Amino acid sequence: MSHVREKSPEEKNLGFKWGTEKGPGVKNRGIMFYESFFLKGEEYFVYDCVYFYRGQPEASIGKLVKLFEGPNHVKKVKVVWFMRPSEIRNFLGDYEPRWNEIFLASGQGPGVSNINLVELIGGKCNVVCTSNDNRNPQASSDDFRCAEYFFCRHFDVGELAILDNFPDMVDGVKVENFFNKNKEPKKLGPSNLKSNGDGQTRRPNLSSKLKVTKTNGNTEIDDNSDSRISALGKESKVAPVSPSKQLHRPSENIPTRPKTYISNSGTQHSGSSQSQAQAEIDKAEVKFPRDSPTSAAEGTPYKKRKFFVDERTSSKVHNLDGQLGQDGGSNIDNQLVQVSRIPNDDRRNWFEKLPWEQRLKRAQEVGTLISLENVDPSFTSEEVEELVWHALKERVEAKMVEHTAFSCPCYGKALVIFKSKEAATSAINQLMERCLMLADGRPVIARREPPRTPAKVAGFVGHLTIDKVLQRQTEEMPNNIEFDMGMEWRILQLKSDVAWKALHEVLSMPILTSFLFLLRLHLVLEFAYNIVVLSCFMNSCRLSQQRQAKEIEAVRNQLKMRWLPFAVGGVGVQKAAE
Amino acid sequence: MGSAEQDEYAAFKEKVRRTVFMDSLSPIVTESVVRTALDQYGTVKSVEFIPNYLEPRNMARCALVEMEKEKQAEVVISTISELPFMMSGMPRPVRACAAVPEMFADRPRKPGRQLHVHWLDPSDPNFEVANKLKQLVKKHATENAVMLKHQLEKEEKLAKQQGETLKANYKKYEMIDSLMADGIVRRLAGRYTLRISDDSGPSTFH
Repeated sequence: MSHVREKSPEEKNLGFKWGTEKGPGVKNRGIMFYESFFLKGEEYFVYDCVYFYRGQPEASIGKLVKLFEGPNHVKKVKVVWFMRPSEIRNFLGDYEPRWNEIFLASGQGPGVSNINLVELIGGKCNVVCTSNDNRNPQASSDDFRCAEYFFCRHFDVGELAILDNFPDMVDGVKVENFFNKNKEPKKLGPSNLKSNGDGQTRRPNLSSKLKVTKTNGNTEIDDNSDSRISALGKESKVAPVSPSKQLHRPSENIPTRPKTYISNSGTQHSGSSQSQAQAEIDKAEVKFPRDSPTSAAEGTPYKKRKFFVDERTSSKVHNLDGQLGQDGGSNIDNQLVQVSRIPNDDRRNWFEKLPWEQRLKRAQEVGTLISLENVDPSFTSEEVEELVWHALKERVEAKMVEHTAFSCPCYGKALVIFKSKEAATSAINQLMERCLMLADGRPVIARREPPRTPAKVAGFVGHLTIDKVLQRQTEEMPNNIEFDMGMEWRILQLKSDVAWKALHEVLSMPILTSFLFLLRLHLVLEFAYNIVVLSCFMNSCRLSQQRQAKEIEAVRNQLKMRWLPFAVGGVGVQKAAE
Repeated sequence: MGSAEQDEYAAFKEKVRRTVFMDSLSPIVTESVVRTALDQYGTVKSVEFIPNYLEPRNMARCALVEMEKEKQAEVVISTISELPFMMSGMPRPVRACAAVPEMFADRPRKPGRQLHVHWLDPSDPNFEVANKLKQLVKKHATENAVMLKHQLEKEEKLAKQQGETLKANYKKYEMIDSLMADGIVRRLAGRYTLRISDDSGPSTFH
């Protein structure tokens, strides 16, 4: 018997639609149960974990155990809750939960489950069970990393205690449904790619290809990627990219997991996270299931960016090979020009050279001094000279600016002196109009170096003098005022170290993970920067070093906690840009 | 190419391990000062100051100090990190950390490294992205600069604060000293029939 419903007007606004039917209820034939439903473009299945907004500042997390609709078109879900540590803090006792740990509610009593309207659902939540219960398929470390929350214990509302061993049933539902789902290998559908039109094919191609570069060698996906690469090669109308045959993960230089890859939802469901690729999509969709108006605008740059990142990753792989001492010899992008030694190099050393500082000053006055920024920090001065010679056909003198305590570790800078002012100007113009890309995808920036501001004659900051007191150099032992003051300076130095490190981490993330969502990243950077600066400005003079360590930890945690949602948020808006 | 380069590079790397990067040095510190200061930890092979072309001139100087052995370098770093070590002036302590190859301006190149560059024309679809990247990098550079400025400002603030405290303390001591010297204290003590000992140092005044 088919179940016919009229569509109520609100459904069209929310994008709600029931999925597969399960059957009418046993007790009450007016109620129809379902396996899944669509809400705002996402499909939610039974036993999915979702966020609920119930008026509290933090969303509640629950697992959908029943989806049904009553006779009066009221759509409801039955939810078994997960408790956050803050909700059960009175009963935690000695247990110290981790920051993303939650507890399954169990037992008999109020608070275990609820029936709610579907409208309160905020989005999907990736929860992983790490319990060692033998009914629980163990989560892989990838799953764990992608999960937003995990649980390994349950909170019994009757006994008001946190327990380890899971009962057989939780509120009438078999406990296996709460554990991790069994993993079925879900292929990233090669059929998807070839069947769609030209323009659209590219995106799923690339997104999965990129996922390949991220995942830790899921062999199925690797096979698919090879076929896709050839498809790509034929279809691409943009710059003739001959992608490399081996796509490894560009691992070594990327300390942080590249969280910000755009995902293509397409027809991929996020029922359970199978591969890491899937999990990334889940994450993206969880946070922003609503289509954002900007996603259309991002569509085209998105496309371009994908290709670019492609090129970058493929060439980066080869750069890595080179750096490891063996150049694979495999053919790289034919646009890349290999930089070799300058012929007739020795001629430079024939003439006596003025010391570098004087040359620098003179060059500054004449206008032949350029600073090249965003070079690889591991370049040497000679390499920079060769670079310029090959790229701009100019002989120059270059010096890499040394790293100091406050230079960003992923940027290098070089000072280059040209032979003439015109050469310098033309170099700047060329570098501005066209982009000179280094092998790992960095565009080189050239700037005219302004003359240094005249030296302030004031004494060194931080050294105090009293006329009658002798000055001496020594280590200080903790029994006089100099020690205290010295310690204050140490605190300041440590604080600034933390701040620099945090700033550089923040800055290096977008560079290393590269290029996604520059607009959103702008916001992220500002936010993170503000946090860092704020922490810098907490200017109180506490003398114990343990206090400092705690402060450092707090800043780090702050950054970590704020960073995650923003990064994910950045990804999420890009979902299904078509 | 070949083993000569590789040897050079290996030697360089070893040197890096033995080198200590010192920060927060006053501009008046000279090489000999550094040498004498660090001599207690071992033999100092060379001291090189990192010239400062781009920053304001009275900023803290940095130096690369090469010690004889790696162990000595480690000892230097750990002692300086734990206790404030002051050179040619107080109370700002110097900082030390392990050196990295990028700190050496005249480092040898890594053998076997290939450099690749290519040009992107405006017609290239990646051009926009590259431009955006450029802007991002510029932004980072400015952020770095701002951060540095903040840091310098804070240092100045701290120094000023400490200077004032020190002056205040010193004035107090002076005052006490002069009182003792003037004999006022003795007369007051006589008036109140209190005993004081006759050293006129401030430390005995309770």
